[in-house]
Amino acid sequence: MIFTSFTYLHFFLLIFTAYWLVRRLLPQNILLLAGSYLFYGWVTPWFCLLIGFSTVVDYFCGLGMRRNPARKKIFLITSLFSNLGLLGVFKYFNFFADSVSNALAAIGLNADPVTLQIILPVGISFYTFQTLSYTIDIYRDECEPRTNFIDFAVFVSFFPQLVAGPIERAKRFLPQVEAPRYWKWSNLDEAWPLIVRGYLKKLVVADNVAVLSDKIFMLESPSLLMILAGSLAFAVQIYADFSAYTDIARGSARLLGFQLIENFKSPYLAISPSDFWRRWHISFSSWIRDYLYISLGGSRVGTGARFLLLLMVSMGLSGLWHGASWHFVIWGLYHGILVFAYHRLGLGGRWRPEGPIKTAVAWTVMFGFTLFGWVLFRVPDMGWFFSAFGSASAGFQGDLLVSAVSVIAATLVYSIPLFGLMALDRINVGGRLVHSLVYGVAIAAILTLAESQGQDFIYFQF
Amino acid sequence: MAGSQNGSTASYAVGPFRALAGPMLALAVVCVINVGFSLLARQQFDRNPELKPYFQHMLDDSRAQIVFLGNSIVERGVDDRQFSHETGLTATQLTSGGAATAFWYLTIKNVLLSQKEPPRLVVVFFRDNMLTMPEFRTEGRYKERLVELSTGTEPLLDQLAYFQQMGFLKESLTRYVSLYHLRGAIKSDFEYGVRDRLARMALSVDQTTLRNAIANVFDEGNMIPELVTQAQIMMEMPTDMRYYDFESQIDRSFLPVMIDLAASAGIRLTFVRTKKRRDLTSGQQPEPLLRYMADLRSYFDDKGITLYDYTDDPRIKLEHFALGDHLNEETGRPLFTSLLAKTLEPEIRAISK
Repeated sequence: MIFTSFTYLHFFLLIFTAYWLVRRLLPQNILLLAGSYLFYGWVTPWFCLLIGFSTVVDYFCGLGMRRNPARKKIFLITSLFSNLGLLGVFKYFNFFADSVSNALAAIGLNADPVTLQIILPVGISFYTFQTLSYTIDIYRDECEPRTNFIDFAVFVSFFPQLVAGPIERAKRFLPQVEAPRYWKWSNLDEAWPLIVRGYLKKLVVADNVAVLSDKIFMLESPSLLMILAGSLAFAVQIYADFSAYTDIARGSARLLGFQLIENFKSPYLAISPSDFWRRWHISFSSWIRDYLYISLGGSRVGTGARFLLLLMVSMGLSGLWHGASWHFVIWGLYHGILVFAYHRLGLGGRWRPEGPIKTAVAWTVMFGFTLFGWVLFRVPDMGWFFSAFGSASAGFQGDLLVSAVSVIAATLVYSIPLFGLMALDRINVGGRLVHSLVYGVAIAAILTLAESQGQDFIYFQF
Repeated sequence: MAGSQNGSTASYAVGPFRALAGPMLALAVVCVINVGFSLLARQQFDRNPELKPYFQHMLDDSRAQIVFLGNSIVERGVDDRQFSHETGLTATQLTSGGAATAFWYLTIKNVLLSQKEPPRLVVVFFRDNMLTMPEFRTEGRYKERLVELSTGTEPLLDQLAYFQQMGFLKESLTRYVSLYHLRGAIKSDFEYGVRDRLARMALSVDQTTLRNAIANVFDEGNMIPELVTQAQIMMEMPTDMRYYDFESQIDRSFLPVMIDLAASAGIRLTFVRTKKRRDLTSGQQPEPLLRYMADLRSYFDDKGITLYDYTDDPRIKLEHFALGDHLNEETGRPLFTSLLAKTLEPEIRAISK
């Protein structure tokens, strides 16, 4: 079930009404659990078996760690093996089989790749990471294992953020599941603007711009200007799409009395790679930092070769998390190199340039790096990348110029809502009245300008 | 709304009046804009029924004995002249890019049945399970084509293609909110008036130059066929398995009505399932689709209707395809037209008696 379908709106209305009618914690949580499994298994019911497996394994691993502290490591390894094993089979099996086969072919050995007809279960990367944070935190004595299975199962499967995050931490989210929840009008007051923003960004911005970028990345030999236009369109699309999901997730959760963490803080205003990762997909980048980078010793290295190695491992795996394809890995490594280079130049961490001109230069450079990164991320494969850049003309004349400018113009027009929302957040003119009027116009835009061939949220594939 | 933006969502006390005032005001704005568009719509967004008279003229001019109903698959894959030459009967196509059953139903009802001498044989070309998906390709630009074929009020079209699958919310929006109901036309005008104007201003070119440049650069021939196929598979991936349940879908579809309408006018109706590029590249057909096709075939057998299925025909090879599911002009189209002329011999004999 996807947020932008009418099915979801009906589903949410039913859950919302029943949830606040029952009023007591246990029935509320049972309702959330049943609703979450219905939501997740709507199209492919057997996906529920996977999330059920992950839930059961981590529930018992958590309890096992408390009852047998001496064997904590075994339970942690069981949890890691089970969850990463699920990911390995359902997301990466074909990728590794193909890669091994290609590597053997490169040295003259022929091996038919054993590929399986596997459907990638949506959201598997998200809930796997969320539930892993529970067992890792217990192992580190940062979280208490839970005995109430229903509470824990709600934490793993909570439908508003199940398939595309934000990735919540057990120590932050479980207490909310366990605490009694009563209807407060502030829930509605906080939720409805988030939901309107989400639908505006997804249906008006992301889906319309997606049509442009999709076409460009299907071209056999695009010009350099066209690649730039495609990259710009994709930058707008992926931000609008992903942050829209987060907004709707946060709004839906708020209506049920939960608070989800923020996932984006104007990422395209970043002035350095470290700044970008503090603003982009925050719940994921902080997960990688806390559970991978720091676990590998990242907090104890300087800016030398070991720092580079840890960055490459962390960022390469971050890239791989996004998809079973080499261009995602290379995108991750590219960002790792950027972070490293900025650190070596003394521009890492919380560095901020002095004065508006230096800030503008730093922003321009970083935005350029980000756009190039999105090309690596969006290309169908690395073959397309090398072929496109190897043979591309500049494209500053004739039909190529006209069509590239048309794509850029269309991207800018469909980005107007993003600029509008940014201005609304930063220039707080008129208060509630102006906000309500603007959201009224936003709803009218959603009703009229939504792309009729609605597309799935991009991050579903991860 | 204090914590409603990207900032903190720390809770605070707020009463019902204050909490409801914001959404109510926003809805009031929507109502005002909606009323404005409703008034404007009466003057601006009425489309002329261009397609119906065009098809009628085509039939009058060609005096076609055989009509092919389909979409771009037929446009690219069937050569009327070659077919007529090989069979000795006049044939013409009534197609539109991306057309599906709603379009074909309207063509039979409003075009073919309005002819003094309707064609003797109508061949419908379809893919997979689209015959029982009445809402498939009925929104956006496809809706404009349907309006052009309609006779003003089309209750069955509204019921099958729109309302029966909608649910309460979508049906209410469609019936009562002009902004939503007219979104296809409004969006098209917005794109023409705002989006394209910016590009034209930046380059000082006219609309025709702009449109031609886009058409040239994004021409099918400039795309990578495998990526187009992948995109098509993604776009048409079923989100609901009920579309593969023939028994539950048949009475919700245009198919029985199309068959009855054709029979009432003495038109022989035949169906052809076309081969797709994907059929050659993605291995065996999915199990639900195979079950669906068996049920469809059995349904046609009961009705005495012939179904020809080219999906597994080994004579149509990968090299006969151009892009996506389209056959190429050089070898694909002549081959398929010839195969079709031979395949349809029993139907041609029957209508020639």
